[in-house]
This record gives sequence, C-alpha cells and structure tokens, in this order.
Amino acid sequence: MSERDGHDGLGIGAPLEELRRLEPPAEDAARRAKLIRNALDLAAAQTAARSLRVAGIGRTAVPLAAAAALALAAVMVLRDDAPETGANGPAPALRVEHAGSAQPLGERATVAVGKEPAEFVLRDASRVRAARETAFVYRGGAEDRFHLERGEVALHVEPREKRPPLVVETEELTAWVVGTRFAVVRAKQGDVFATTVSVVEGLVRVVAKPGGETQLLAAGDRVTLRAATPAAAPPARAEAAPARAAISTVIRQKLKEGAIGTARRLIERAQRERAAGAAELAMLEAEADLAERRHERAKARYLAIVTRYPHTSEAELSLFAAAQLSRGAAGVDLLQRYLARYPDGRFAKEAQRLLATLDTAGSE
Amino acid sequence: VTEPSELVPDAVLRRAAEGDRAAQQAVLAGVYDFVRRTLYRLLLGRAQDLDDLQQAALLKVLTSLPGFRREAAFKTWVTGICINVVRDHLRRKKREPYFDPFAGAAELRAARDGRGEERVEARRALGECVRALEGLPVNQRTVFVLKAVYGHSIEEIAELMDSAHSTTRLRLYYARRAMRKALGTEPELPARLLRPQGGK
Repeated sequence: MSERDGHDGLGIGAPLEELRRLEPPAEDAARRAKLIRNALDLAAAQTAARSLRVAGIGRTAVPLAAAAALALAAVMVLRDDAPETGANGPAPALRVEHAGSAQPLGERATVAVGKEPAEFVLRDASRVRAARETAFVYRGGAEDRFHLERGEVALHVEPREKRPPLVVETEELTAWVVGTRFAVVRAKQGDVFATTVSVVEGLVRVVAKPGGETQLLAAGDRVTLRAATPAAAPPARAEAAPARAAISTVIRQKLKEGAIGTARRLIERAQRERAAGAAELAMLEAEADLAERRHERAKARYLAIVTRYPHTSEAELSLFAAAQLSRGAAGVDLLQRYLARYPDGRFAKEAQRLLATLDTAGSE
Repeated sequence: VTEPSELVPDAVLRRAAEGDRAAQQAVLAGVYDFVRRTLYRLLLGRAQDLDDLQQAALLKVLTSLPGFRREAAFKTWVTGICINVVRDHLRRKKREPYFDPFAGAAELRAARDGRGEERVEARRALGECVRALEGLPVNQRTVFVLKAVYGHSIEEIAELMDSAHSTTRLRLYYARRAMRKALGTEPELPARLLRPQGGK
C-alpha cells in the first residue's frame, strides 16, 4: 500500500482523501468584507500601539514583573475634516511645530500640532503622541480628559489605580480607558462624521452621545456611531447594535476556551450593567451549563427563556436547543412544539428531519 | 486553486508592508480564500472557530508583512502563519470540546445528505479518523496533517513549523504510532516493540 493511499498501512486512505478535498462552508460577501475590514482596523490599531513602543515610550521603563499590572491603552483618533483651528475651533494655546522630546501638558492645554507629529507627557507619566495637524483640548484634574477636535492621538496610559478612567471624547462618543488596547477612528461618512471604536484587547466602555447608552466592547469588536445631523437627529442606534452583542461574543469565546468561571463572571457583570439583553444573557448561562456538561440544568434554563421571553429570537433558539437536549417522547414533544410555534422558523427543516429520524429509530 | 502569490503582485506586497491601506486590502482579498481553506483543513473540517481564526490569520499576515524577507515563497509564508494560528488555538482550547447545541442537527443533516450506505460509511470512517487525529498532541497532529493530507515533505514541514528535521521525523513517528493505536490497526508485534523507550 502506498503512503498516500493509507499512510503507511493505517488503512485510512479514504478518510484522508476526504480531508484533502475539504472545502470550507460558503460565506456571504458581507461577512467576508467584514472580516477583512476588521483585520485592517485591528492592524492599524496595533501599528499605532507599536509606534509608541518604538518611540521608547514606557515599555523599557516597565519592569517585567509589573507589566501585567500596566494599564496599557493605545488610542488612535482621526478627525480628518474639522474646521481649521483658529477659525471655528478653539484658539491654540500651545502650538507645536517640531517632533522632539515629550512636552508636559500640565493641567490644561489646548493644542494644535503643526506639520510634524509631536509627543506629550501627562503628570502621571502617561504619554500622548499626536499626528501632524491634530488639534485637541486637554483637561487634567481628578480625571484626564481629551476632547479631540481633529486629527489623531495615540495614548499610552499608566495604571489608573483608584483614579477615574482616562477619557477620550469626540462629538459622537466618549471612550473610557479601563485597561486595554483599542483604536478610535473619526472620519466623515457621507455628510456626517462617524467615530469607530475597534478593540484590540480587553474591554472598552463606550458611551454614545447624546443618549448616554453604555456599551461594552470586547477584543475583535467594533462599533460605529454617527454624528447627529444639523437637525439634531438622534444617534444612529442601529449602528451601535453590534456593540450590544459584543459582550456576548467575548463570553462565548471564553466558553470555547473552557474558561467557564470567567464566562460566568462576565455574564454577571453584563447583567449588572445591562450590557446585553436579558434573554441573551440567560442563553449564555445555559451555554455555560452545557460547557460544564450540566445538560439538565441547561435544558431547564432554555425552557425558562421560552416562558419568560416568549417574543424574542432567543425563545426560538432556546426551544430548539431544549429539544436537542431531550430524549425520547420529551424530545418529540418539544420538536412538535417548536414546529407548531415556528412553522417557518430557522430550525424548522432541522426539526422536521430530527422528527423523521426519531420516527425511523422508533420503528426499527 | 489559484495561489496567493499569483494574486498578490510583489509591488502590492511592498506597498502593503509600508502601510498603504489600499494595498493591504488587496493583499487580504488575495490571500483570503487560500487562508480559509488552509485553516479549515488544519481544523479537520471543524467550522466552529473558523471565522475567529480567519480574522486572526489575516491580522497576522498584515502585521508580519514588514518582516517577510522573501526567503520563502509567499504561499509558504502564509501557510506557516495559518499553521501557527491553528496550533495556538488548539493549545488554548481545553480538551473538553465546547458543546454547541445546534451542531447536532447540522451533523445529522450532513450525514443524511449523503447518498446511500456507502456515503454514510465514508462519513463514519472520516469521523473516526478525525477523532483519532484530534486525540494527538498539537504538534504531532499538525505534522501528520501536513504530511498525509497536504503531502508535504519532512523538509517542507520542518520549515513550515520552524523546527528541526529530526524533531519533525520523531513527531511523525509518534503520530503514526498513536494513530495505529487509536484506529486499532496496530501490527501484531511483541508488546515491548510497541513501546520503545524515550519521550516525545
């Protein structure tokens, strides 16, 4: 027998041939575009973070043992077509024309950067790197707050300990640095500005303006908020929807990695902060049970979701999941309930097939 | 199958490495299908984490591009990235698989989509083979898949996995031995010959 036929007599020539012919499931163009866009944004954020380190900010000064405690934040903010500073923007109190050693920002500063990027240092040794032609207002005090008028800033933030988080705000949103790496990009989309936050590591809290809806973003997540139009239209809530799902994404990732305890803590926190829908969080609790092989408990949770949140999409998922976890007559009953309630549901065909299988198995 | 090196001209690679966003987008579009297929086969057809790994691999391609020295073919370099992404993922993942309550129906459908007993038998054999491979340590599994599925030589695998030839040969030896045991195709040999001394 040749090696390719059976790999040294293992007798698995046919399965190996199947593996050679495996083709990934089809995906739609939107999903493909999203993955590419996310990778581009995350790469840009990582480059911004790396540029801080290359510039010698912080990294070499941080002992290895203390590195884990370092609240590292790399924030990149772009605002590419705001009014020229001095015309409609704030008058520049500090005008920087040369890149050089970092300049202290003091307690308050209104900054307009010239033709070269510039670096600044806060009182707690946090560093700020501003791209050319950036304009921002800085207010120190109990909390450090940047209001970006235009351009791009990258921040390397020292641990905040018990102090309030450092804040970067634009007209569209406020991003709170809670110990993570993320990017904020502000650019014009059509007639209005939009600010996009992409998270590289950890969690970022984003508060929409106006409205104040708080969202937690996790690694790999992104949310875009559009500015209100001159007629003061409400913020684009639809655009913010992906962020609401963000915490559930990170919880599912933790479950996949087997970090059940962490997942449960995140679920509790999300419930406290209402960072996701109650039905969705209940589903995640059930999934945590499944990951621990507590199938009966998971099934009970799924059935509770069906009762408590009957008009949500989670109810449909839960009813089908409960059926999947049931055997014999109970399984048949739940599948029939599913089909009666959702005759055109997402799992209707699967449910019919499963019922047919159970019938076949029963007649054998 | 169109290879990424044919889809991404050198000039585009260079511009992408310098940070040109349009060029970076072109690189990702060029390697996208190749990366997805490679990851999927390395994952032995488990699609559950495919999107996450796809994004991680695309990100790695972009962030590592400035370090691409053209000592290897671009395709080989991208394959190496895919291998590392999957190895890291498998190491992170605990032995206990994540239970997907909706996977059962999909698998059932896959089985029922086959025609006749022959197809059912083929899927059963594939499932057995995949389970045996999933029981291997990550490096042994990767070497075995690169050899048996992709048909790479020991030298190529050593380069892709950045390891010594001798290490690669040893991993393949242990992988085959474990596969024989898992598949019940162990030859009739004295027990002492089946358990040679030495670690992995």
